[in-house]
Amino acid sequence: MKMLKVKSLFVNYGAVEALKNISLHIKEKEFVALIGSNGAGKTSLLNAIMGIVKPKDGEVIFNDKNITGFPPERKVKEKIALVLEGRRVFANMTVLENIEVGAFTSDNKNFIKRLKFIYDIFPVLKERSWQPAGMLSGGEQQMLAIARALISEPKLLLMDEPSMGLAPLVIKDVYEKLLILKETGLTIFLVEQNAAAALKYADRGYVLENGKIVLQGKSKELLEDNEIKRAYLGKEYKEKWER
Amino acid sequence: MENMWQHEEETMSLDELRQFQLERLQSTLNRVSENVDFYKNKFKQCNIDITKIKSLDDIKYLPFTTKQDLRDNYPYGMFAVPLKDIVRIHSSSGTTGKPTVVGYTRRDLETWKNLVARIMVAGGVSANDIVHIAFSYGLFTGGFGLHYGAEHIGASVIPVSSGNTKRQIMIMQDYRSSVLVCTPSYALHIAETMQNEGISRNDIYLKYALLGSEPWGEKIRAEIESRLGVTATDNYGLSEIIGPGVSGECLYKNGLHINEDHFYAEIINPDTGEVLPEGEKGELVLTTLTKEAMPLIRYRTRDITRLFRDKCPCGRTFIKMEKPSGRTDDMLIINGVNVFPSQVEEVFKEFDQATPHYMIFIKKKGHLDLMEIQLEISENLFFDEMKKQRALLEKMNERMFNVLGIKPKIKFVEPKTIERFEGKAKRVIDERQF
Repeated sequence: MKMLKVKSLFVNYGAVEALKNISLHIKEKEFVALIGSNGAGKTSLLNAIMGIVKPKDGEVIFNDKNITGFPPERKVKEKIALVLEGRRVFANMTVLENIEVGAFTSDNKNFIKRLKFIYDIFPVLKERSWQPAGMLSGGEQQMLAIARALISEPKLLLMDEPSMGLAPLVIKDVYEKLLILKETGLTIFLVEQNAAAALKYADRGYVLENGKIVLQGKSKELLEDNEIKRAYLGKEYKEKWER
Repeated sequence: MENMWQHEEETMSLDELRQFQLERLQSTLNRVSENVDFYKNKFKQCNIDITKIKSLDDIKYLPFTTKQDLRDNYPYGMFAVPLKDIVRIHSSSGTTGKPTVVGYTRRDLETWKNLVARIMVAGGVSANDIVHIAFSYGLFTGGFGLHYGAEHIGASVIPVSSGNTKRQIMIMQDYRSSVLVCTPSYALHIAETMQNEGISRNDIYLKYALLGSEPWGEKIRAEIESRLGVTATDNYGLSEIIGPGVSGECLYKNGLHINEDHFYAEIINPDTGEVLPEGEKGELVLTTLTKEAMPLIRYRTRDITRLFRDKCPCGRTFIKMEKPSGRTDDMLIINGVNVFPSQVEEVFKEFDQATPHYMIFIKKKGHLDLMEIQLEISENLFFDEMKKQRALLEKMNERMFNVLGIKPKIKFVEPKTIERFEGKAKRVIDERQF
């Protein structure tokens, strides 16, 4: 199968089991969201896929190649890119310099073409390319963080909490950009606390609780699921009876 | 390539299917071990750490679930969600006494109707069809299961329900039913009644028959097809798992495609519990992979069959099962209704006048099944007045109907006329030919 397959993955921090027997997959050109509350293990999962932490057990397979334990720079070579949580742009560097940082592993011959592609999708970054990144709004910084990841021409984009700290309208902007990127053929996997936003745009979703996956399905199915409504969408309900 | 309801799923590569199955098995295990006391305790008892289930092959380390487990947890003990998330409840006959209860969440119902729609489309049904459902509606999953599946496809559904065969035929003629849904024996009974009424297959509009809920063979298929002028396909399901929609034949009529992305199928040796290699005959064991309300791990269906994966010309990649060829328990299927001989015994125990000596005969009356029970009664009663006998018979008949869901024919016989058994009693004589 094309794209990413995670099989029975375990991650430990000392004696603490952060991820327990995680299996999931993202098919080529799919947009998949993993939702979970704080501390469920979302970031650990991205770190394990990206090679920032070493899994204790399990496999990460990308386009039929076992890439478990490859360090991050080799993951980038395999065309996987990660957008970290909280954006982390270099505030004193210009927008363009920030994007250039993302290109350090790839050869330069496609840089101009790639930059044009990015500017087409994020015109605001083109307008502000000479401004320090610190001057950008939260939403623009998120877009810059995405742009920085895109310059290495990834096939698979991993994102950690893209909606964090952003206003609802800005979240919508960011997610709509992701949909445009999906249209261009990019495969997207993101982890989110904001289940409503993520499931509105993603094709499929997984639910992570205490380091374990407890539910999965098409986004539409998950949005209508009572368990998810209660736990992640904050929908109130009156208890009529309890067993 | 045939029409399919969920093309992407039904033609999935084995590699992708295995990944889906593993993911869904693991999350099902995570949920049941958290939400269902029965599984929480069972895993603890058997010393099972579910995080050790790292591949589909590891499923063999998990314990089985049986019908008795469902009965022990009657009515709602097997549910994995709060009752307020349950939107439908069905039940099926238990071996003795209490029935087994199954629940569905809204998402389960969505899944169910899609799975039934898959099987109906595989059997030839389309949005242009007029689907005549002659399964009984009620607690049994047959009627409602097929009903919602057919409606989901967009077909015109006639919920005729069972019984009154002449009216069924009138509806078929006047409403131009193009698909018949019922048990194979009822389809034959309809054909028989048509013949008696002088109605030929050219007077009706049927094209397809989707038959299920009892065993039937190629001979019966050929007869139904020629007498009703239809293409007849088999479908299989059991209410504990979901109802109809577990598996069904495509138009190539060579095995029933199992909806493997929702149910993981194994064949075991019924005596040892050992998993048998693909292709060998044994008991079918099913694990639900997406059920929310009542997930079941390694449920023993008691049906004997064989699994095989061929390159079906229809394009579906799902594994196939043969028509079940028997049972590993003593369950009888009478006109599509599941009956256990122990239920009969339970009823008799309620009556002082009944002796423990009885025999059950299953026969064919025309094309329908007939259950006849011969019961020895005490000498006094036998020579007693007819009135008393008849009153007792009536009472017994009523109780039987309440417990079994079908009307057997009870006959009183003189004392000491029924065979006495040394060792294991053989109280059921099934004279039907499949």
